[in-house]
Amino acid sequence: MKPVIAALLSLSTLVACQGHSPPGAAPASESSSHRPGKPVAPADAQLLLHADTVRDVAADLVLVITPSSPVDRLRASISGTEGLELEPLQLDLGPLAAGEAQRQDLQVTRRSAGPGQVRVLLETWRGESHEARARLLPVRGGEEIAEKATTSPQLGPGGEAILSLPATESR
Amino acid sequence: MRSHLVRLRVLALLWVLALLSACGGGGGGDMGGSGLQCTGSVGGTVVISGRITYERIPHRLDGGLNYANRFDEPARGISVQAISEGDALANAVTDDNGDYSLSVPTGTRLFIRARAEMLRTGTPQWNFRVFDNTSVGDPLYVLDGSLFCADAVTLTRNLHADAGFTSSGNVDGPRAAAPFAILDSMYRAYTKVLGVQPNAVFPALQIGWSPDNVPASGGTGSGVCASNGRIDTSFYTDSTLCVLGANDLDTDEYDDHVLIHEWAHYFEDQFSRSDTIGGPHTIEDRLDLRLAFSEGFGNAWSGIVTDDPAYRDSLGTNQSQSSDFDIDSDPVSNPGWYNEAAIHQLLYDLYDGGPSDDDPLALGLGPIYQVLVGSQRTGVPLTSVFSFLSSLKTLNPASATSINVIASGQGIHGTDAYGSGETNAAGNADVLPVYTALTVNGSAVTRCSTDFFGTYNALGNRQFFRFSASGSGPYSIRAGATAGPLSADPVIVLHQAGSRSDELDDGFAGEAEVLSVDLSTGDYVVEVWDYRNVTSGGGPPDRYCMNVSVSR
Repeated sequence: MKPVIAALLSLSTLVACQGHSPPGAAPASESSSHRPGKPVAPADAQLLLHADTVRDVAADLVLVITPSSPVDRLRASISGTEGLELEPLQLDLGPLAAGEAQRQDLQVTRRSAGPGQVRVLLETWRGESHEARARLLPVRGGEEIAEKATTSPQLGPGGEAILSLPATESR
Repeated sequence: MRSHLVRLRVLALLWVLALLSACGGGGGGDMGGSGLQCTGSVGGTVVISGRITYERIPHRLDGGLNYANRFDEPARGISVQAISEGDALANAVTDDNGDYSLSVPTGTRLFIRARAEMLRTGTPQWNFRVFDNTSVGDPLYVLDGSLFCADAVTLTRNLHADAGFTSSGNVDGPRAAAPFAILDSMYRAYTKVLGVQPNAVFPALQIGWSPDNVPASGGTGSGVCASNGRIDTSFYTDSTLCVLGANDLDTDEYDDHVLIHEWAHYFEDQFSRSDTIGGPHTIEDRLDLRLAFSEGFGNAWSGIVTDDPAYRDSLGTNQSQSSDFDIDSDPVSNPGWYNEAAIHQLLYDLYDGGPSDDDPLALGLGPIYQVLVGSQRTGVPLTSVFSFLSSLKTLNPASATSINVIASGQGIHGTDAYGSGETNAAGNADVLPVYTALTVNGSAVTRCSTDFFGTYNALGNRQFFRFSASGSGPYSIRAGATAGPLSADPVIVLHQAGSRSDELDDGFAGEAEVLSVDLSTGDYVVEVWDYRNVTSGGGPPDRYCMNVSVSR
């Protein structure tokens, strides 16, 4: 993987949102992902989602959070780290159905030449245990970078798939 | 610079010329519905020669690509075909000037095709090709000329691939030059190796590039390079190199150093060995020693192949920005055996010479190559700067003192392949010693997995141990939590000379892991980490201490 000096990389990370237990509430007893049945200490009540390194490009960023199971309330605390500054943002989301994506534009206030990250802290209430998928998407002109439609391949000699590029020809 | 309009005019003119030169009479098929008629084969041959070129966009010294100063480069070592009625009638390979020559029967109707492929069988041998990972069937890029009749003793057909950008860096046409620019970086890399190993056999390397290869996650498809183009970044794995092509975000086709850096990982994989665990990294990070060496080598290799230490990675709107650093002379933040910049500077210093050389050694590539394909590939220690330097000094004893001086200048002091005697702890005592010696049936040794520098691939996440098995038979390697409020959740992996056991992770936090394994006599490396410092979502990273022992 090429070294990252200053770059923008999106993330797609599955995170287990362990319940953030209010005082007096019983801590959650099990995490919901990675290793079913694994006992989790009370200190696991909050999990920090580390974004991949964010790369310094002209694209804006959109954060998409998608819970894997229904959740009444979900708080996302978002901040940038060195190299990429964001307006600190706290989102109170919910109720959300399973798979219901929540999109949030991120306001990038400054990018430097150094490495950058986006940190997303996901918390739930009432000791709930959830999975949520968080992704960062680069966008241009307010639209996510389009994915290419697929087409049938052109076949060359021997049935080899080829993609013909135009040449400037001279003699 | 040619404008798109001019190109269209040239194409139109060529088309008219092709029609004017059409041979009379029937015989040839109506390939492509062109209506061009040739006489068909009437005996004799026609020699067709020409030059294949592509448009290269250089870098500006102050960052970004310099579209205004584009120039034409020969497409070297490229496969060229004469295509007639859907068949390849004749094949050729371009020389260092991009020139080719082939013969076809007189009267044949054909066109010239340059394939985004470098192919040679025999010894030496190579096979590099660029395909579109975002199109069905992963098609090979080809550059096609126009249809004509072989109606003279000799004919010339030159093909040129345009970059497809305006002088200000806006896309104005197909980016036909990109696959050939990428291949030229491959050409530079493999010819550098041929300089020290003339009979090298390069296993096949597939290179996926597309304008739709974007720096975004969420890749789909079964291939190595995501079929939806979401490849995150340019990278190498499994004999495949995936390359970004996202205009206004990050294109890498003209970033020689980026491409050659990734080729270095192919070289490690096929010629040498890398035990790297991968993952995000920057040149300032304090990293796992395996990752630090692999990435430092990749950076250094890009400077060695190009004999240019200025690493440039263009990106941003109109590719007007760059991530640049100087492999040879930039100050290194956080120097040490765990920092890729320290290692790329060290390796480049060992290699370089000439008036600009700022160090006492100029070994050239030969000695470095011998280590990489020798003990670095076969040795028991994990691949790191220590294993590399130890072998380099053994093979070049007269240079050992100078090697130590250069290494010390980068904060690297270990004296053998295991980093014995290393004193640079990066400000955290948990990271030393680099390897902890275990004695079979001896006392357990306590080491701590720490998230002090980050998680997954950061320095100190994983602790390394070494032991010698004096006889064959069953052995047990145990890692248990120490007493205290933070109960470790150990994971064990056993290594020997590039082979690696499955991760053992059966117990919960606070429970010991015991790896029972039959071993042959020899030396082994044990890697132990805490699950939470390596696996996202497993729990809070922290400092977790473990007792590790080996018994028989």
